[in-house]
Amino acid sequence: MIDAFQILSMILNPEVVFAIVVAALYGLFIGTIPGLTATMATALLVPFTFWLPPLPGLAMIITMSALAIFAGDIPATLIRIPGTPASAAFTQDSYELAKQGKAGLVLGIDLIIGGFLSGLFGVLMLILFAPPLAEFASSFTSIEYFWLCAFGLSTAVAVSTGSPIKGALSLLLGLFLASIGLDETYGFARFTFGNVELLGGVSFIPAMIGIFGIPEIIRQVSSEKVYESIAETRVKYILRDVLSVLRKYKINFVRSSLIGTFIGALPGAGADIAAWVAYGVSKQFSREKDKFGKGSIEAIVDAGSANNSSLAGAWIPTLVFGIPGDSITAIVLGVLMMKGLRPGPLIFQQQSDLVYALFTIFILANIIMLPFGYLTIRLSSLLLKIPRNILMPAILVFCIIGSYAINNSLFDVALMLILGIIAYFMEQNRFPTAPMVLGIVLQPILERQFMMSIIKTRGEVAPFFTRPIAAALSILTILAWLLPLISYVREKLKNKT
Amino acid sequence: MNIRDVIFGIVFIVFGACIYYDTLDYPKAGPGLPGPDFFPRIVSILIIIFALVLTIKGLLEKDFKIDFPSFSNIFRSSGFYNAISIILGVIAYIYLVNVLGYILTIFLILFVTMMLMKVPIYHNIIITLSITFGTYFLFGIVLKINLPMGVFR
Repeated sequence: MIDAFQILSMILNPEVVFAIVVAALYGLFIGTIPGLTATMATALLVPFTFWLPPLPGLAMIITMSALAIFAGDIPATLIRIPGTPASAAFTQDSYELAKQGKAGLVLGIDLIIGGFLSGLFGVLMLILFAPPLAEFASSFTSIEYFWLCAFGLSTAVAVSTGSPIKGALSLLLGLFLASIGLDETYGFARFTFGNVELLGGVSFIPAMIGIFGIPEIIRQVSSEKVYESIAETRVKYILRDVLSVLRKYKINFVRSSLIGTFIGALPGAGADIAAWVAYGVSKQFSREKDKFGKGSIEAIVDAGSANNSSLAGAWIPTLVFGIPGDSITAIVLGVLMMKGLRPGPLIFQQQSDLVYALFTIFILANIIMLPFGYLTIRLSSLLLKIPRNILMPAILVFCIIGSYAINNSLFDVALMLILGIIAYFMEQNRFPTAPMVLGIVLQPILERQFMMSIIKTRGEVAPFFTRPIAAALSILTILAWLLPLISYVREKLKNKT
Repeated sequence: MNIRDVIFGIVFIVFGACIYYDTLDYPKAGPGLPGPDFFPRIVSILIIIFALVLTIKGLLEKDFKIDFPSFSNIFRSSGFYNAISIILGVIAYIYLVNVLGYILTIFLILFVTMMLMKVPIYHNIIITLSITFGTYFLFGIVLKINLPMGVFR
């Protein structure tokens, strides 16, 4: 039985309220600055969550990510640079409308429909579907969990941006990095080369900060625009016509929020992919296809609704199966494990108060978005005046201290830098880095579940394919690897004909 | 040919081979059971396979693409020096923080980095001081992280 008073008292704790407010401001700030992603912001939050109890720590991540994804629409509209990749799909349309003097209307739609309402829609789906799925998952053994991990890693490659081959190599690099250190089953030191610091393995937090933070900083400071402030624009009439837009495009809103939640729930696919898919579907069904890319309000409603609803969707596999839905929840999974919490069906029975408190925080984060988001839109011209040559060195300090703080180790700072440089070169050559992060997070679970299963079956491989759910998951995993290959061959054949 | 993909492919092949070679010395488990070498070995084999595909695909690509910027252009761009200053900043932190302490090291790194990025001197001093003492207060005093004190010990 859920104790509503217990949950309310957990949330109204001053520590949690303070965490939510600070994270909201931080999320709005990060989202408004072009190039700084919500994932990078989450990685930089992790050192803070380390010193906080689980609930305020997770509240910070939930609130920050929701507000950062919304705020990413602000620079997309005002200067044609998406604040986060999740706003990229409809940047052109937003900017074209802003040029027509409709920046206020676009940002109003982003705030009310694309942010607040679609965020609540995603939470509703999370509340409705996560508990029954958890009940179903309670019959899973280590074999099913092994296949779930393998499926999560496979879809991460299949849906990653760019070439699936590069996605696979990035994933494998992550799997290798996570296998450094003492092996869990036999206690054998792998790839440590006599270095004592490596016995504990590659630390999760410095790796996250390095992979997401350093490439962004290097890219921004290498830009020719490093000495410039970002933009100087004013916005008017934010809320005036939003309701009439919602009435006109209510079906688009529901359809894209569903798409967003579904894509968010797919392991490895995040808000950016959700927005692109919703944009494509919207164009397909639109009566005004020619307006897309030239200033379509319909496109903004669709893609904006999908990106925010995907955030809560990504928590469904994270909480139910312990498989992250996107790169933000991959970091969340690391935080949960760091706090001694093991996501999975049991968390719904053993810590149901925490789970329902998290659901409530999702609702709060979306409500808080209204006043804070409105103020941010009003103040956006001031925020966008900060030059990159001041902002980036300041973020570098947070990267350094964030990777140092967990173990008080300079080795971790060096690790952050090395992985950051590797990630930079990979990204410059169109290797997606999100699969690498998923690899680092999921490798220990994947290997543990496999070793447990193979020891239980005394070396027999047949049970991996004969148990009904395991068989279904193994087929899905194989399909996830085959689909990119099939579509590649089909494309080649089409080109030939 | 896509030279970038070919180079990355070759680097990954060598990397995969090194991982495989390292696992050859790992101890074996009981009969029929995988040992500590099992997972890394699978990873290394998959790396080599995918890297081979990337290399071959890069070699077969029809448009001849050598899109590396010339070295003289790289060294002339201020962006390159900005990026180097960021990397050197982190390296400097690693080597200096135990000697100079957190406050002095962060002050120096921020000041020099922003100076190289042409932030006006007065702005630079004010921002550097605010960030240095702000982060010291937040991490050192509020979160009680053991920041190196160096000369202030």
